[in-house]
Amino acid sequence: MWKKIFTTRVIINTVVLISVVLGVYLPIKITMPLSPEVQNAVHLIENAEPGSTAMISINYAGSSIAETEPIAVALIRLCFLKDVNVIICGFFPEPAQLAEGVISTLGKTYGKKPGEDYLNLGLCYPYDAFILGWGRDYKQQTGSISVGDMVHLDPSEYTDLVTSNPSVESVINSIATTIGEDRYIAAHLLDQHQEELGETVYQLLKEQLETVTRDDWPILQPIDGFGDLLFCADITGTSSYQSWIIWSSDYRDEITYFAGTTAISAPEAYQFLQAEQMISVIPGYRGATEIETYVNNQYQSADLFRKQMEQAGFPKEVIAAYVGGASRGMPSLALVHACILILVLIGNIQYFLNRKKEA
Amino acid sequence: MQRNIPLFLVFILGIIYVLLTFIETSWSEGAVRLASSWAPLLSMWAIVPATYVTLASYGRRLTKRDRNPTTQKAILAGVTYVAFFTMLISGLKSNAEGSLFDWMFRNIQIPVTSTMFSLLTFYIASAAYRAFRVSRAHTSLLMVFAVLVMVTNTGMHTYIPFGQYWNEFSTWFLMTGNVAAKRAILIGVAVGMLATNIRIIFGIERSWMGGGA
Repeated sequence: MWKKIFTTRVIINTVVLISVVLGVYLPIKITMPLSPEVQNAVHLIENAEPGSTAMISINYAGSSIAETEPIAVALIRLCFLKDVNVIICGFFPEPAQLAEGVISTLGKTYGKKPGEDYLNLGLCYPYDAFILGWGRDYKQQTGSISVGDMVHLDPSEYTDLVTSNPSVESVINSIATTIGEDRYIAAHLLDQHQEELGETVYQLLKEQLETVTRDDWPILQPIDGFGDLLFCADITGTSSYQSWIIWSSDYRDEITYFAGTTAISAPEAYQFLQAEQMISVIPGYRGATEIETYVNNQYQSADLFRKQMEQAGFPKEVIAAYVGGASRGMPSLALVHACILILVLIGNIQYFLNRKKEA
Repeated sequence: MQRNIPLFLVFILGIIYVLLTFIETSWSEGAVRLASSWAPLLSMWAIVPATYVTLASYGRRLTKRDRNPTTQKAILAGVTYVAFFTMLISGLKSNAEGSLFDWMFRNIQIPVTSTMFSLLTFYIASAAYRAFRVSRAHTSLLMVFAVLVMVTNTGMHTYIPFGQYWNEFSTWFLMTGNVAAKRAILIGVAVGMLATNIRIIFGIERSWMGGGA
């Protein structure tokens, strides 16, 4: 009976589970210095002039969020600490939704202003058209370009509307407050309150929302193309980082690019690093831990970061996810891989013993 | 006719695009840029047939028109339909923070996909134990470098003697041996793609039209 319950698979799975849990709870500390493939990106941000702008496309989904989100957090944190503005975008619906959470949380923590210090362009699909569009001088492009779901409303512009129709004041105020808090939902709020606002006011506001162009955002004013960006980066759980290399190839001299990938897909990215099509590869947890450790040691300790998040009013679970998110996962990662190595060793010993017996 | 028109279009446009790429004039470069701007926009419409195919495929299972109907398949199809339309309707209503769509996205979709992916750990551990045998020279070599990369990528090298050298050697290997192998594979894939594209342009390869063409 015990043999039926404790099969090899059950034992292996239990060992893996225990090692993951031990990694979380044991006080093992793995601190890693910057490796050569990561340090170029870090030094680029460190040496940047305050006020320069970086673009980060966030393309991880739930499947790889554990490994890639710490990269995004560590990078954006370093950018904000060095007063580098950040433009965020997502090439797919799921990452675009996740990106909003990361940028708005860190923006609020560091007291950054949406539209001025950071901007979420939302879903930028098709991504190839998006990258090609940024390479060219987008100001020469005709028509208004939607910047995702984010909108820019100045409450003062609507004073006349409020005077003529007092009932809309609270709705307009709530939309304006939403914008002020860096939420991209003003357009949706508007739709929700369509009946309340009445058709005329609704259409006027909607018209205003739809005519928003890139030039309406202060952060985008000085940017004409890749040459004006400090760097472009893709943080991804897939091979989407290659899209940047393919579609920005005409602008290779202008663009400074690097990628944050999962550890499993990192080896594939090294060929672009070696060909100098990228300046850095940030490989999964390890890369995130390296940057996180560096930022904690050089600029702001984890305790200070935690306090700043508490002051910004974030709940404990959000703070726990952001503070030390990378280095906290490393012990589990190390223990599970050590287990796998031991299992391979045991498997091979068994194999050789069996072969000896058979001989 | 149904097949000849797409074949004709692919042939003409394929040849024109190839010629435009190799002719260096301002108008040809402009035409290539125009085509490369249009291609992604057209590809976006693929979402329409993709949605239709998904719903039709699961609809067959739900209505027992499947060749081999089972209760599990019907349940799976039912769950897919409910999930699809719940997300669609709630998303159309609002995807703002705090909405039903946002709640389902953060509390169902993200944890479910994370869980599915994390299950790989157990499969990999089990597979490594059963299948990774150092029986020949090349598997021994594979094992050595796998251990090297694994140890340095997980930070284990910080706890072993001469860990820094392990790390440096691992980086060197990733930038040389690994890159050489990856490039060899990439070149192979590129040549294969080129051959396939030539076959498509000249109408030899017709599987892209579907229906066993």
